[in-house]
Amino acid sequence: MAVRSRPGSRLFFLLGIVMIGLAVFLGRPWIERSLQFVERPAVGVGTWLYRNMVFFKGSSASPEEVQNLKDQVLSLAVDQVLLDRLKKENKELKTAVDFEKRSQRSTITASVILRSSTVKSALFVVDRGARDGIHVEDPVIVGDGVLVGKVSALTPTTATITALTDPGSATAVSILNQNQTIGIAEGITGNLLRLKFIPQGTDVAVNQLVTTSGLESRIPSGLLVGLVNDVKSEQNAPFLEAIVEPLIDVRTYEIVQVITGPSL
Amino acid sequence: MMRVLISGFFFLAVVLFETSFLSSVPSVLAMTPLVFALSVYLIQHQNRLDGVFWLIGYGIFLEAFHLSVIPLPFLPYAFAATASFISARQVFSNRSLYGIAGCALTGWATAAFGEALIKMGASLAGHSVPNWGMWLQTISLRALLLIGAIYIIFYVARPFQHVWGSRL
Repeated sequence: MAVRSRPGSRLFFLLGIVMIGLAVFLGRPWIERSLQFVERPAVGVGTWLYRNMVFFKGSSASPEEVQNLKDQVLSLAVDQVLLDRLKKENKELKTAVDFEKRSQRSTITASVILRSSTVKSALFVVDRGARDGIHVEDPVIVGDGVLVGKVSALTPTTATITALTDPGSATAVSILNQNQTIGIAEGITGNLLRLKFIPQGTDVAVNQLVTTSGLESRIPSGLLVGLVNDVKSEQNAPFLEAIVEPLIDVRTYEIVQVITGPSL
Repeated sequence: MMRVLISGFFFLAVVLFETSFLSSVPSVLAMTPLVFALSVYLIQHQNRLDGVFWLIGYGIFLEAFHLSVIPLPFLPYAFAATASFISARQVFSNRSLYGIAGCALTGWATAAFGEALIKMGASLAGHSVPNWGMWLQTISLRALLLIGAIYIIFYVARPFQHVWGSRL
């Protein structure tokens, strides 16, 4: 069985490929911007299906109930983080000006235009890039300060974001307990995070909130990460391990915000 | 030239459909390797070279948008294109559903092998620690979805044989 092609047409075919490649290389930013008109609505429709097709996810509760409960958890979590931050501010006698500075972060709103087909490696691309002032390692949030990922690569007009739950992702976090335990949360299978090397005897418990610790240069402290879902302890082991469940599923969002500038 | 442009247009449409829409839908459907399935269909069943360029182009697309967890994603896709092309001519020359499935799995296994080599290289260079269990699980699941997609394409595309077979 021979592939249908003649030497002449093959040459034209290759020439055509080279010309298209050259055009793509030279006009890449323009092409990327043009494609976004198709990509944005396509992601929008797919995300809508993801949010509403509950039977695919095997949930027994109605979509409204699930959504209401999720909203409540998110609202309470945001309140607690805000309260904790205010307490800390008061305790350390920070001035009102400092507080204003902390809350006045520069953000860029961006739409999701592409996602990786491999669900377990949560990568997605947004329609803002280096030209808009985004840098690699900038934090990406949704809603009222819920961290969902970090910028991992850039083009002039797009940014690739690695979700916190990606197995290659690591984030400096702290648990909102008595000791403000700090650690590194790594993405693991099942859209979860793992916090390792917590010293034995630390008061880590289920349902404690986890936020960013501010130890990464571009990520401010106090951004919500998730809730402690499980604490694993082995006899004679010097460390505990906490499993953290993110508060939101990043795949249900099509608009995100990128925090630019160094952490305050 | 017109044929290249039309093929390029369809390629772009399918790539955007997979990475924008299909990857956003719920459940494992989001992991369907649609571009791979269509490329193999073109190579094996329609006997067209376009499929080879589609596979390589898809790898370049992933590289351009950093939409892959492994470095140099176009390499596994280039390996897969070569393996699919050779197996379509030498091994699975029967244009049945089984022929396409065999050709697709050969290409998929080659891509997986290439990906494993790159992951091992990255691991040895200290860039990442691969989770082989999870990787194998993902590759296997996507192989099943690939076969499912090929089954659907095989029967859906039947009425349009004359379009594919034309010199577009």
